[in-house]
Amino acid sequence: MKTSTESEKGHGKAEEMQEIAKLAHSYAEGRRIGPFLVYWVVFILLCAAIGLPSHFAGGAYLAGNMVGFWLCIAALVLAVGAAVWFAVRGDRWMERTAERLYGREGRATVAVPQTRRNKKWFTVALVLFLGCIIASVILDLPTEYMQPISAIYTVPFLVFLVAWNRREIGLGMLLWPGLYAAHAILIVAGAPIRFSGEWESLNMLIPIAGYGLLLGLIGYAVNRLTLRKLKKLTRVDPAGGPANGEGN
Amino acid sequence: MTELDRTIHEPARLRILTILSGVDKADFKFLLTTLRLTRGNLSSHMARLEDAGYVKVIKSFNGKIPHTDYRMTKVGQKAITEYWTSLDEIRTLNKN
Repeated sequence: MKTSTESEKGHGKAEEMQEIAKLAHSYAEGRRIGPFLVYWVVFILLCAAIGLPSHFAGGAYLAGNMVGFWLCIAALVLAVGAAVWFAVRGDRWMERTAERLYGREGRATVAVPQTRRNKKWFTVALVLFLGCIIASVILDLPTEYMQPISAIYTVPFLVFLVAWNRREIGLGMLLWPGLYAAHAILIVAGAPIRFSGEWESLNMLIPIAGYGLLLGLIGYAVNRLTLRKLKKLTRVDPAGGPANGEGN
Repeated sequence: MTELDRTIHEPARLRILTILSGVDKADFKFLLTTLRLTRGNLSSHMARLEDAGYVKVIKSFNGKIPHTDYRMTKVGQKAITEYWTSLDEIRTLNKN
Protein backbone atom coordinates (compact mmCIF):
# COMPACT_ATOMS: atom_id res chain seq x y z
CA MET A 1 0.00 0.00 0.00
CA LYS A 2 1.24 3.48 -0.81
CA THR A 3 1.42 6.27 1.71
CA SER A 4 -0.38 9.55 1.14
CA THR A 5 2.86 11.32 0.26
CA GLU A 6 3.77 8.63 -2.26
CA SER A 7 0.28 8.71 -3.70
CA GLU A 8 0.42 12.41 -4.30
CA LYS A 9 3.98 12.39 -5.65
CA GLY A 10 3.76 13.26 -9.34
CA HIS A 11 -0.04 13.17 -9.25
CA GLY A 12 -0.72 16.65 -7.95
CA LYS A 13 -3.22 17.41 -5.22
CA ALA A 14 -6.80 16.24 -5.48
CA GLU A 15 -7.88 19.87 -5.69
CA GLU A 16 -5.54 20.34 -8.65
CA MET A 17 -7.13 17.37 -10.39
CA GLN A 18 -10.60 18.80 -9.81
CA GLU A 19 -9.32 22.07 -11.23
CA ILE A 20 -8.08 20.21 -14.33
CA ALA A 21 -11.55 18.73 -14.93
CA LYS A 22 -13.15 22.15 -14.47
CA LEU A 23 -10.64 23.88 -16.74
CA ALA A 24 -11.04 21.20 -19.43
CA HIS A 25 -14.81 21.66 -19.28
CA SER A 26 -14.54 25.44 -19.32
CA TYR A 27 -12.10 25.34 -22.25
CA ALA A 28 -14.32 22.98 -24.26
CA GLU A 29 -17.33 25.18 -23.51
CA GLY A 30 -15.58 28.37 -24.58
CA ARG A 31 -14.01 26.93 -27.70
CA ARG A 32 -16.83 28.09 -29.92
CA ILE A 33 -16.56 31.73 -28.92
CA GLY A 34 -14.03 32.34 -31.73
CA PRO A 35 -16.25 30.92 -34.49
CA PHE A 36 -19.24 32.58 -32.81
CA LEU A 37 -17.53 35.95 -33.22
CA VAL A 38 -17.02 35.30 -36.93
CA TYR A 39 -20.59 34.04 -37.15
CA TRP A 40 -21.83 37.19 -35.45
CA VAL A 41 -19.95 39.52 -37.81
CA VAL A 42 -21.51 37.72 -40.79
CA PHE A 43 -24.90 37.94 -39.10
CA ILE A 44 -24.54 41.71 -38.58
CA LEU A 45 -23.56 42.12 -42.22
CA LEU A 46 -26.67 40.17 -43.19
CA CYS A 47 -28.80 42.45 -40.98
CA ALA A 48 -27.27 45.46 -42.73
CA ALA A 49 -27.95 43.75 -46.09
CA ILE A 50 -31.61 43.49 -45.05
CA GLY A 51 -31.92 46.89 -43.39
CA LEU A 52 -30.41 48.97 -46.20
CA PRO A 53 -32.65 47.70 -49.08
CA SER A 54 -35.67 48.05 -46.73
CA HIS A 55 -34.71 51.67 -46.08
CA PHE A 56 -34.06 52.51 -49.74
CA ALA A 57 -37.16 50.61 -50.94
CA GLY A 58 -39.34 52.91 -48.82
CA GLY A 59 -37.66 56.00 -50.24
CA ALA A 60 -37.89 54.73 -53.82
CA TYR A 61 -41.59 53.90 -53.42
CA LEU A 62 -42.42 57.34 -51.99
CA ALA A 63 -40.47 58.99 -54.84
CA GLY A 64 -42.35 56.89 -57.40
CA ASN A 65 -39.17 55.14 -58.55
CA MET A 66 -40.65 51.69 -59.14
CA VAL A 67 -37.52 50.27 -60.82
CA GLY A 68 -35.46 51.23 -57.78
CA PHE A 69 -38.19 49.89 -55.52
CA TRP A 70 -38.26 46.46 -57.18
CA LEU A 71 -34.46 46.31 -57.28
CA CYS A 72 -34.42 46.93 -53.52
CA ILE A 73 -37.11 44.27 -53.00
CA ALA A 74 -35.02 41.79 -55.04
CA ALA A 75 -31.95 42.62 -52.93
CA LEU A 76 -34.07 42.23 -49.79
CA VAL A 77 -35.34 38.80 -50.88
CA LEU A 78 -31.76 37.69 -51.63
CA ALA A 79 -30.55 38.95 -48.24
CA VAL A 80 -33.40 37.24 -46.35
CA GLY A 81 -32.67 34.03 -48.30
CA ALA A 82 -28.99 34.27 -47.37
CA ALA A 83 -29.94 34.85 -43.70
CA VAL A 84 -32.23 31.81 -43.64
CA TRP A 85 -29.52 29.70 -45.37
CA PHE A 86 -27.05 30.91 -42.77
CA ALA A 87 -29.44 30.02 -39.95
CA VAL A 88 -29.89 26.50 -41.31
CA ARG A 89 -26.35 25.76 -42.56
CA GLY A 90 -24.45 28.07 -40.22
CA ASP A 91 -23.61 25.23 -37.79
CA ARG A 92 -21.51 23.33 -40.34
CA TRP A 93 -19.84 26.55 -41.39
CA MET A 94 -19.02 27.29 -37.75
CA GLU A 95 -17.53 23.81 -37.35
CA ARG A 96 -15.23 24.39 -40.31
CA THR A 97 -14.26 27.80 -38.89
CA ALA A 98 -13.50 26.16 -35.53
CA GLU A 99 -11.27 23.62 -37.28
CA ARG A 100 -9.32 26.46 -38.89
CA LEU A 101 -9.07 28.46 -35.65
CA TYR A 102 -8.24 25.64 -33.27
CA GLY A 103 -6.73 23.04 -35.60
CA ARG A 104 -3.30 23.25 -33.99
CA GLU A 105 -4.52 22.52 -30.49
CA GLY A 106 -6.81 19.62 -31.26
CA ARG A 107 -10.44 19.26 -30.29
CA ALA A 108 -12.31 18.92 -27.01
CA THR A 109 -16.08 19.19 -26.89
CA VAL A 110 -18.87 19.23 -24.36
CA ALA A 111 -22.14 17.43 -24.94
CA VAL A 112 -24.69 19.51 -26.83
CA PRO A 113 -28.15 19.37 -25.24
CA GLN A 114 -31.00 18.02 -27.35
CA THR A 115 -32.77 21.39 -27.48
CA ARG A 116 -29.62 22.89 -29.06
CA ARG A 117 -29.97 20.54 -32.01
CA ASN A 118 -33.51 21.64 -32.66
CA LYS A 119 -32.95 24.41 -35.18
CA LYS A 120 -36.65 25.13 -35.51
CA TRP A 121 -36.69 27.57 -32.57
CA PHE A 122 -33.60 29.37 -33.77
CA THR A 123 -35.08 29.79 -37.25
CA VAL A 124 -38.37 31.07 -35.78
CA ALA A 125 -36.52 33.57 -33.52
CA LEU A 126 -34.32 34.71 -36.39
CA VAL A 127 -37.27 35.24 -38.75
CA LEU A 128 -39.14 37.18 -36.02
CA PHE A 129 -36.06 39.31 -35.32
CA LEU A 130 -35.47 40.04 -39.00
CA GLY A 131 -39.18 40.79 -39.39
CA CYS A 132 -38.92 43.34 -36.56
CA ILE A 133 -35.92 44.99 -38.27
CA ILE A 134 -37.82 45.25 -41.55
CA ALA A 135 -40.96 46.55 -39.78
CA SER A 136 -39.02 49.17 -37.79
CA VAL A 137 -37.38 50.43 -41.00
CA ILE A 138 -40.63 50.45 -43.01
CA LEU A 139 -42.61 52.11 -40.18
CA ASP A 140 -40.00 54.90 -40.18
CA LEU A 141 -39.94 55.13 -36.38
CA PRO A 142 -38.45 58.26 -34.74
CA THR A 143 -34.72 58.04 -35.34
CA GLU A 144 -33.68 59.52 -31.99
CA TYR A 145 -35.31 56.53 -30.30
CA MET A 146 -34.21 53.95 -32.90
CA GLN A 147 -31.92 52.11 -30.47
CA PRO A 148 -34.31 52.11 -27.47
CA ILE A 149 -37.18 50.91 -29.70
CA SER A 150 -34.94 48.26 -31.25
CA ALA A 151 -34.05 47.12 -27.71
CA ILE A 152 -37.66 45.95 -27.29
CA TYR A 153 -37.09 43.16 -29.82
CA THR A 154 -33.28 42.95 -29.85
CA VAL A 155 -32.82 42.27 -26.12
CA PRO A 156 -35.20 39.25 -26.08
CA PHE A 157 -33.55 37.96 -29.28
CA LEU A 158 -30.06 38.29 -27.79
CA VAL A 159 -31.19 36.61 -24.55
CA PHE A 160 -32.54 33.74 -26.65
CA LEU A 161 -29.37 33.63 -28.78
CA VAL A 162 -27.10 33.43 -25.71
CA ALA A 163 -29.34 30.90 -23.95
CA TRP A 164 -29.52 28.78 -27.13
CA ASN A 165 -25.71 28.82 -27.43
CA ARG A 166 -25.03 28.69 -23.68
CA ARG A 167 -23.01 25.46 -23.91
CA GLU A 168 -20.74 27.00 -26.50
CA ILE A 169 -20.39 30.60 -25.36
CA GLY A 170 -21.45 30.53 -21.71
CA LEU A 171 -24.12 32.49 -19.88
CA GLY A 172 -21.62 35.30 -19.25
CA MET A 173 -22.58 36.56 -22.70
CA LEU A 174 -25.95 37.60 -21.19
CA LEU A 175 -24.05 40.77 -20.38
CA TRP A 176 -24.47 41.52 -24.06
CA PRO A 177 -28.28 42.08 -24.03
CA GLY A 178 -27.78 43.65 -20.60
CA LEU A 179 -25.43 46.27 -22.04
CA TYR A 180 -27.75 46.80 -25.00
CA ALA A 181 -30.69 47.40 -22.65
CA ALA A 182 -28.58 49.71 -20.45
CA HIS A 183 -27.56 51.65 -23.59
CA ALA A 184 -31.26 52.07 -24.50
CA ILE A 185 -32.13 53.27 -20.98
CA LEU A 186 -29.26 55.80 -21.06
CA ILE A 187 -30.48 57.18 -24.41
CA VAL A 188 -34.03 57.55 -23.09
CA ALA A 189 -32.58 59.25 -19.99
CA GLY A 190 -30.84 61.73 -22.27
CA ALA A 191 -27.22 60.60 -21.92
CA PRO A 192 -25.02 62.04 -24.74
CA ILE A 193 -24.24 58.69 -26.36
CA ARG A 194 -26.40 59.05 -29.44
CA PHE A 195 -25.15 59.31 -33.03
CA SER A 196 -26.89 61.96 -35.11
CA GLY A 197 -27.17 63.12 -38.70
CA GLU A 198 -26.01 60.70 -41.38
CA TRP A 199 -24.55 58.39 -38.68
CA GLU A 200 -27.93 57.86 -37.00
CA SER A 201 -28.23 54.26 -38.21
CA LEU A 202 -25.11 53.47 -36.15
CA ASN A 203 -27.19 54.00 -33.01
CA MET A 204 -28.46 50.46 -33.48
CA LEU A 205 -25.56 48.79 -35.27
CA ILE A 206 -22.79 49.91 -32.93
CA PRO A 207 -24.39 48.73 -29.65
CA ILE A 208 -25.55 45.40 -31.05
CA ALA A 209 -22.36 44.60 -32.95
CA GLY A 210 -19.95 46.46 -30.68
CA TYR A 211 -21.04 45.01 -27.34
CA GLY A 212 -21.28 41.52 -28.86
CA LEU A 213 -17.80 41.76 -30.32
CA LEU A 214 -16.34 43.23 -27.13
CA LEU A 215 -17.76 40.47 -24.93
CA GLY A 216 -16.87 37.83 -27.51
CA LEU A 217 -13.27 39.05 -27.60
CA ILE A 218 -13.11 39.01 -23.78
CA GLY A 219 -14.55 35.47 -23.81
CA TYR A 220 -11.99 34.40 -26.40
CA ALA A 221 -9.14 35.84 -24.29
CA VAL A 222 -10.48 34.04 -21.19
CA ASN A 223 -10.60 30.80 -23.21
CA ARG A 224 -6.93 31.23 -24.20
CA LEU A 225 -6.00 31.81 -20.55
CA THR A 226 -7.97 28.72 -19.52
CA LEU A 227 -6.06 26.59 -22.00
CA ARG A 228 -2.75 28.00 -20.78
CA LYS A 229 -3.68 27.23 -17.18
CA LEU A 230 -4.86 23.74 -18.16
CA LYS A 231 -1.58 23.02 -19.93
CA LYS A 232 0.38 24.25 -16.93
CA LEU A 233 -1.56 22.00 -14.55
CA THR A 234 -1.56 18.91 -16.75
CA ARG A 235 2.05 19.01 -17.80
CA VAL A 236 3.39 15.58 -16.92
CA ASP A 237 6.71 15.36 -15.16
CA PRO A 238 8.87 13.24 -17.52
CA ALA A 239 10.09 11.27 -14.49
CA GLY A 240 6.54 10.02 -13.95
CA GLY A 241 5.98 9.05 -17.55
CA PRO A 242 5.55 5.54 -18.84
CA ALA A 243 9.04 5.53 -20.27
CA ASN A 244 10.28 5.07 -16.72
CA GLY A 245 8.12 2.11 -16.16
CA GLU A 246 5.99 2.80 -13.10
CA GLY A 247 2.52 1.45 -13.52
CA ASN A 248 2.76 1.06 -17.25
CA MET B 1 -6.09 -2.54 2.95
CA THR B 2 -7.06 0.07 0.37
CA GLU B 3 -5.56 -0.61 -3.02
CA LEU B 4 -5.16 2.04 -5.66
CA ASP B 5 -6.03 1.25 -9.26
CA ARG B 6 -2.57 1.10 -10.84
CA THR B 7 -3.97 1.84 -14.29
CA ILE B 8 -5.24 5.19 -13.07
CA HIS B 9 -2.48 5.83 -10.56
CA GLU B 10 0.11 6.54 -13.28
CA PRO B 11 0.37 10.41 -13.46
CA ALA B 12 -0.18 10.78 -17.21
CA ARG B 13 -3.16 8.42 -17.26
CA LEU B 14 -4.64 10.15 -14.20
CA ARG B 15 -4.44 13.46 -16.04
CA ILE B 16 -5.88 11.99 -19.23
CA LEU B 17 -8.86 10.57 -17.35
CA THR B 18 -9.30 13.81 -15.40
CA ILE B 19 -9.40 15.82 -18.63
CA LEU B 20 -11.85 13.36 -20.18
CA SER B 21 -14.03 13.54 -17.06
CA GLY B 22 -14.51 17.27 -17.74
CA VAL B 23 -15.44 17.00 -21.40
CA ASP B 24 -17.72 14.94 -23.60
CA LYS B 25 -14.83 13.87 -25.82
CA ALA B 26 -11.33 14.97 -26.74
CA ASP B 27 -9.16 14.02 -29.66
CA PHE B 28 -5.63 12.64 -29.74
CA LYS B 29 -4.14 15.96 -30.79
CA PHE B 30 -5.75 17.86 -27.91
CA LEU B 31 -4.43 15.38 -25.35
CA LEU B 32 -1.03 15.41 -27.06
CA THR B 33 -0.64 19.20 -27.03
CA THR B 34 -2.16 19.67 -23.56
CA LEU B 35 -0.19 16.96 -21.78
CA ARG B 36 2.95 17.48 -23.90
CA LEU B 37 3.60 13.77 -24.18
CA THR B 38 5.20 12.08 -27.16
CA ARG B 39 2.90 10.37 -29.64
CA GLY B 40 4.24 6.98 -28.60
CA ASN B 41 3.72 7.63 -24.90
CA LEU B 42 0.20 8.92 -25.39
CA SER B 43 -0.68 5.99 -27.68
CA SER B 44 0.51 3.47 -25.09
CA HIS B 45 -1.42 5.22 -22.31
CA MET B 46 -4.58 5.35 -24.39
CA ALA B 47 -4.22 1.68 -25.33
CA ARG B 48 -3.88 0.82 -21.65
CA LEU B 49 -6.96 2.86 -20.74
CA GLU B 50 -8.92 1.35 -23.62
CA ASP B 51 -7.92 -2.18 -22.57
CA ALA B 52 -9.15 -1.42 -19.05
CA GLY B 53 -12.46 -0.27 -20.54
CA TYR B 54 -12.02 3.25 -19.14
CA VAL B 55 -12.11 5.07 -22.46
CA LYS B 56 -13.93 4.50 -25.70
CA VAL B 57 -12.10 5.15 -28.95
CA ILE B 58 -14.13 6.86 -31.67
CA LYS B 59 -12.51 6.62 -35.09
CA SER B 60 -13.70 8.83 -37.92
CA PHE B 61 -12.47 10.65 -41.00
CA ASN B 62 -12.05 14.40 -41.60
CA GLY B 63 -12.23 14.16 -45.35
CA LYS B 64 -9.47 11.62 -46.03
CA ILE B 65 -7.63 12.23 -42.77
CA PRO B 66 -8.27 9.71 -39.99
CA HIS B 67 -9.37 11.25 -36.71
CA THR B 68 -9.39 9.69 -33.25
CA ASP B 69 -11.57 10.92 -30.41
CA TYR B 70 -11.69 9.56 -26.89
CA ARG B 71 -14.63 9.49 -24.53
CA MET B 72 -14.64 8.31 -20.94
CA THR B 73 -16.88 5.30 -20.36
CA LYS B 74 -19.16 4.75 -17.38
CA VAL B 75 -16.65 2.15 -16.16
CA GLY B 76 -13.95 4.82 -16.37
CA GLN B 77 -16.09 7.32 -14.46
CA LYS B 78 -16.74 4.77 -11.74
CA ALA B 79 -13.06 3.81 -11.62
CA ILE B 80 -11.81 7.38 -11.20
CA THR B 81 -14.42 8.09 -8.50
CA GLU B 82 -13.30 4.95 -6.66
CA TYR B 83 -9.68 5.98 -7.13
CA TRP B 84 -10.29 9.30 -5.37
CA THR B 85 -12.22 7.55 -2.60
CA SER B 86 -9.33 5.11 -2.11
CA LEU B 87 -6.84 7.96 -2.07
CA ASP B 88 -8.90 9.75 0.59
CA GLU B 89 -9.01 6.56 2.67
CA ILE B 90 -5.23 6.25 2.44
CA ARG B 91 -4.84 9.85 3.54
CA THR B 92 -7.18 9.31 6.49
CA LEU B 93 -5.30 6.14 7.50
CA ASN B 94 -2.02 7.99 7.23
CA LYS B 95 -3.27 10.85 9.42
CA ASN B 96 -4.50 8.41 12.10
